[in-house]
Amino acid sequence: MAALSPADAEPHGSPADVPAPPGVATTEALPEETLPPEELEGILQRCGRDPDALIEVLHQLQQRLGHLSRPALGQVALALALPPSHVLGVASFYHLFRLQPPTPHRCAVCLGTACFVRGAGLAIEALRQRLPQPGWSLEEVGCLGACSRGPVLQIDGVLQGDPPVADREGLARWLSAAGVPQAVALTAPAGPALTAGAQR
Amino acid sequence: MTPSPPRPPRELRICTASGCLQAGSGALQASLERAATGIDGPVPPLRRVGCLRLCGRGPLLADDGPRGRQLYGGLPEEAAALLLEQPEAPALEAWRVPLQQPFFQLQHPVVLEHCGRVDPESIDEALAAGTYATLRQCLTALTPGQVREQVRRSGLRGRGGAGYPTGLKWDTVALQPPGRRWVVCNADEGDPGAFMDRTVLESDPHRLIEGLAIAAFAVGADRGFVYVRAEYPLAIARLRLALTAARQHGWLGPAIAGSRFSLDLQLRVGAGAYVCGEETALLASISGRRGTPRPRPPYPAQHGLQGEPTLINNVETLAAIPAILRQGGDWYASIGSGESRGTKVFSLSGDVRHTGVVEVPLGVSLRQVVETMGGGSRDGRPIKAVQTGGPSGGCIPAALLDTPVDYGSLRELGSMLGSGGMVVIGQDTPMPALAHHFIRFSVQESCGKCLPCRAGTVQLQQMLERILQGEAGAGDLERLEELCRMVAATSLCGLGQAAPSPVLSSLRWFRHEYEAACAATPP
Repeated sequence: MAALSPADAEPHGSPADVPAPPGVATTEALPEETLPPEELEGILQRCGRDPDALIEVLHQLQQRLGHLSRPALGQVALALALPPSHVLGVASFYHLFRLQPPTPHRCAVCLGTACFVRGAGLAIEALRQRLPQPGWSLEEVGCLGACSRGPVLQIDGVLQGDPPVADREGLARWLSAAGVPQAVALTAPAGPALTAGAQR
Repeated sequence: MTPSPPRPPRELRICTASGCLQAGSGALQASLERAATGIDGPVPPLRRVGCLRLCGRGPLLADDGPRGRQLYGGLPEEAAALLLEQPEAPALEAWRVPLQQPFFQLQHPVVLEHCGRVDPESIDEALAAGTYATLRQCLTALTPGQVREQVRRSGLRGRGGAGYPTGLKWDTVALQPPGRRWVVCNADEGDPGAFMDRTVLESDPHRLIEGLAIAAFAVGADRGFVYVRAEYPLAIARLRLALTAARQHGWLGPAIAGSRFSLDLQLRVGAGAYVCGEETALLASISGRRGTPRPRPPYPAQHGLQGEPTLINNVETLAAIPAILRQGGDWYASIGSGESRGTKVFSLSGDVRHTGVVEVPLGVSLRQVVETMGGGSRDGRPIKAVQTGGPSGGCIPAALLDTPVDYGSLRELGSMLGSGGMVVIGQDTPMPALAHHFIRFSVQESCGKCLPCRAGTVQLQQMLERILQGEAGAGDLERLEELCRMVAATSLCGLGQAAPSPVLSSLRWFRHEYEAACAATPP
């Protein structure tokens, strides 16, 4: 396969060409959408330029940018000489690739079977009441591997186990102590950022 | 082999597998090291090791002293100095985990023999424990055919869930027309509630490399991949480290152990797709594509990576190989029963007192694993069922706990041995809700390639939701069963074919719960 020179790997669409996806808060500065060509070249030198390397390249890109923007995917397509449809197809297939910028705060609930049996559903119900919140997202994820402490939550990257799910008020206190904000009043006007809530 | 250095009279081992790390073994290690600096005189060395099995009591610390071995669970920071200075202090009793209990006594470690004994980040400790000695033995004293003969005799079957005879698979790959071959290790352990492979990867990665190298030699492959799911960052880091160390020590690369055998092994990380555990989807993902399966035949053994014969084995299968070649296939076949030979690692979780990892001979009863070793439910009430095989398996009701744990018996009951996740279901979990939980998982993980799985699982989910919400009517259970059979019969790959199993098995054993839910529906 003919390797493209770094100069060819210029983004072929500026961020301005892409309409902001719905539900993304626009009040904050937009995160970087593309990678400087020399950084992309560094990734390609580590991962190789074969089509095989695509998933690894996307991992590194997401680690650097926080998500996989359309322009960045375009950069990768050009650099690996792959059709943009193929690159987007791969990026959208795998659950761990984010096509939209992450919210500043995230709460993930483990829905592994062990956590489910120990009442993860009750924790999710309580969290659905509290989050939608500006800047927060609620994710349901597969097994986080802490089955012995289930149900487990990952709040801003910190794993917390064994909430008192059977006790409604105890759970509310536990969630507050764990850093999950109180539910916003239902009468509050729904700003655009509120839609960055539950992902699934 | 380098002779192992003499062990000090007393030594501490701290578990650094992810279960214990999440429970705080890093902080415990730090407090032990801090306490050690304040003590005059000798302090026992502290080694970081892999899984010590009883994850539910983590962080775990083993104390091997002149008066025997002790195990501590959840030792607080304040007790660190006491443990170092007065190991016999009665105050430590509160955190002592009795090692005489069945959970430890009934284990039969083969795959996990070095797990919890060696530092997973040190190739020197792996070598001292004998890792790579069997590989050297195979390369210098045996032909590939003789290696395959031992694996055939062992009766080992694929531990990823399907249970295909490993020796037969190796022969199929080896006997393809001359040309290049590949080996692939499937470390995409995706079943919720399964963490056996993670335990091996995090605790003894060199063992996997040794098993994979022996497999490559036996089938004539000189390159391969380990495909690990991205959700296992610690396993990935340790495997990466182990691969580098193995290359530096000449156990990977050209002319291994002075033989003509060479092996180039690369790590590939998934990106969150359960279906990639299916072998053809896994090959697609390794090649940088969407992880969608393709029809078989041709099987990867004939037509795999780049169209060339490819051997794909699961982590636990490969980790059993060094022991089989060291002690002989007949030795391995003497463990287990009937068509199920050897040992199997299970991860025990859910509503069970002792959560953790157990390795037992195949053929022991489910009761022995769940009640004798696991200690029954957390609140002491009788358990309701045991879920085996994850989203592809089913549930075994408590009345049938005397069923032997082997490939055939569990299949007869509508479940499967699967990869080894065992989730204990307590009285409070409604079975239709559990079935819904698994179907929802299959909906999310269906790759979308074939219609029965893509659309059928969604319909199954909606039917179960109607039942759970009390909106189901007469005939709905029959329709549910019919659709289950259709999805199972017509889906392209194992994911869709097995997706209805949790529903069908709970309908078989707990139909009354479904009927009660339907009867509650107002006319």
